[in-house]
Amino acid sequence: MAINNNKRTFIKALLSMPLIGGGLYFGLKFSRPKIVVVGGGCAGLEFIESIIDKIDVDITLIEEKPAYHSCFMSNAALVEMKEHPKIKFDYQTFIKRAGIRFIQDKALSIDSNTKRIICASGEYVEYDYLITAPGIGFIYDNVEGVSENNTLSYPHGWKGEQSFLALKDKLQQLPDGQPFIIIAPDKIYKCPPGPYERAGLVADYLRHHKPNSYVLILDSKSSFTKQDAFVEGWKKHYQFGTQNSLIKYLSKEAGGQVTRIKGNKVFAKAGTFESECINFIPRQRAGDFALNNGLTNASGWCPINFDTMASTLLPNTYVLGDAAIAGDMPKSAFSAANQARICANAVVAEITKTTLKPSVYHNVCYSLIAPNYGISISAAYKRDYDDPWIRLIPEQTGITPLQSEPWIYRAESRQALDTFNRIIASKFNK
Amino acid sequence: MRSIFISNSVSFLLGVCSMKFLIRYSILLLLYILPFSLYSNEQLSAICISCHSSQQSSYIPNINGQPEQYLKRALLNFRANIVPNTMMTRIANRLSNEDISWLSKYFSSKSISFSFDREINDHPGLDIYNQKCAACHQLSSAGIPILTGLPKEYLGDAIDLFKQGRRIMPASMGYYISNMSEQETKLVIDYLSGFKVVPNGN
Ligand SMILES: Cc1cc2nc3c(=O)[nH]c(=O)nc-3n(C[C@H](O)[C@H](O)[C@H](O)COP(=O)(O)OP(=O)(O)OC[C@H]3O[C@@H](n4cnc5c(N)ncnc54)[C@H](O)[C@@H]3O)c2cc1C
Repeated sequence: MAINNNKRTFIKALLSMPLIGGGLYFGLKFSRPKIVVVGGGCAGLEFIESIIDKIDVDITLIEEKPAYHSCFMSNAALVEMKEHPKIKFDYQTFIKRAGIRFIQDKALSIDSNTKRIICASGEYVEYDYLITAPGIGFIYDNVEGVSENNTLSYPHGWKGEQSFLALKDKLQQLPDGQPFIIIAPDKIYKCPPGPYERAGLVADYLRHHKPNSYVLILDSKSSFTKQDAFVEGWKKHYQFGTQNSLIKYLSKEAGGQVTRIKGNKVFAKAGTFESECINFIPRQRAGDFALNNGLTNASGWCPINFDTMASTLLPNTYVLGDAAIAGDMPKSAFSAANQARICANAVVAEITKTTLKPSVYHNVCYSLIAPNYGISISAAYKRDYDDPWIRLIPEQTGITPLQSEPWIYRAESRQALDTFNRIIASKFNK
Repeated sequence: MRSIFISNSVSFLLGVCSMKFLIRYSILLLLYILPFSLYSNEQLSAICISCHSSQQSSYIPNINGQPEQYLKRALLNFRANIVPNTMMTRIANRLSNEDISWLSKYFSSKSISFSFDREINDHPGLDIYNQKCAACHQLSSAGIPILTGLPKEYLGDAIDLFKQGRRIMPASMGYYISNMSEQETKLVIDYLSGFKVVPNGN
């Protein structure tokens, strides 16, 4: 190593000798800004794709896992829905196509004085701009009996492959007749319609594989996003609201709030429920990396400048995706990608010392209720200079109208797949 | 002769229905249209490319390189809720007339070409396409969209809407569409959706 370094310095010195004056100028002028991205999820990857299109920069991606395991479309994969897309992608094709440096390691700490990021292996990387997109972490404080230690006994399936596989296994092993219990968290959490999408797709699975079982949703909230459209779909497909319903829903008011879990028993206000498959989705906060490095505020999420996505707490550092407080925008892959493109523009403006043009803030979330049946919400947001927030524009927000024609729901289920392909799968194409 | 006559009267009737649609919704339209643009040009195109990519898709159609007049008409119709597609209706509601003009020009100026994997020249849909569609759609001018490379289910739904008189079409197209058997329709769609849209690096 030492010899190598010496050799390199010697060669460098040799090469630069005839050029000292010009070479120095050349080196300064053309040393590319160093950008380090922590977290290769939707946000991190979209940022990289977007910025390499615009400017020549030196990019390093630090990602803990060798492959990305997508939560988007994971409900379809959980029940092995016919023609569900692949949700796990090796990083290598992305790395090669983007031509960036990849460090498979856990990023541990930020030294903002020396502008270094230190990894679990001890390796460190220097940056001019640090882009962090570490996703979410969990809080186990409101339900007795579950903690980080036994989370795989009550798998959330809300992050990472291990928990997803544990949940899938429990679903498949579920004795016919027992309910699949989903314990939905209180706001703010990633993918607001996610638990309800899961309910529908699991109900479809149970109908075919465990005809005496049903889905029970125990909710800590009074209502949820796209509720009317979900309920309409559940009525069409799962006899929702009748004795034979394949989905039962208990809101907070109906006693759905869970206080304790022990063995196969769930203790809620409405009573005790029993199952070998308890899908406990915990309360959430920004990922550990953000929390441990002073990027979060008292809310557990990361405050940012809404025009640039720069952290308001650490210099030269940006936060994208689920970890960030992005005003009224939900924690979705679509929003994460939107924020990533805004941030790429902001970093380019910063590097090139040009003015940043105003950005567009919008979100589209599709949810599947059954195979070939999807619904959606689309929303636009505005940034006003006298309003420190990314504000929802209610008049420009809409949900699939109730009683649409059948082909519309089918078309939306296909558009959901296209969106997944656009935001996630296509990143890993050759 | 007889079938031409019948189909012509059908398309005439369909035309009347669509006129009713048009009149009903243009009244609504007058009330709701945004009087000014909310977006800069960069913002406008950013809205579209969030979903309309050059990647192969299963439903969302390619908009790059489509004729300007066609894109404009499509957006105006979405906004007026004449072409039912809930997502595009909702998105187009955010657009002013000026936005629609700019977007149509912008995406029509993108140059594209097509590639295909299988032996497309032997495809039984090619003949049907040449006989019944190509005369107009091959021109890609005067607001006639390019069908090549559009996704299968998107084309299927569009044809259904035309047949039901809910998308407006010229009488000649009504004639061909109503005279195409289910099998022929399937073959044409299969042929067209077999192409891949390739952006020409712009
Ligand atoms: C069931 C479910 C369904 C969903 N469906 C949809 C949908 O239909 N549409 C939609 O738009 N969104 C959907 N989402 C939401 C979407 O998955 C997230 O919003 C999106 O993944 C956010 O992207 P991100 O980049 O912020 O975080 P993530 O995608 O979670 O990526 C974070 C990455 O950072 C890495 N990382 C974390 N810490 C470190 C560290 N210290 N060092 C190195 N690497 C680190 C992780 O390994 C991970 O790869 C769904 C989510 C769930 C759970």
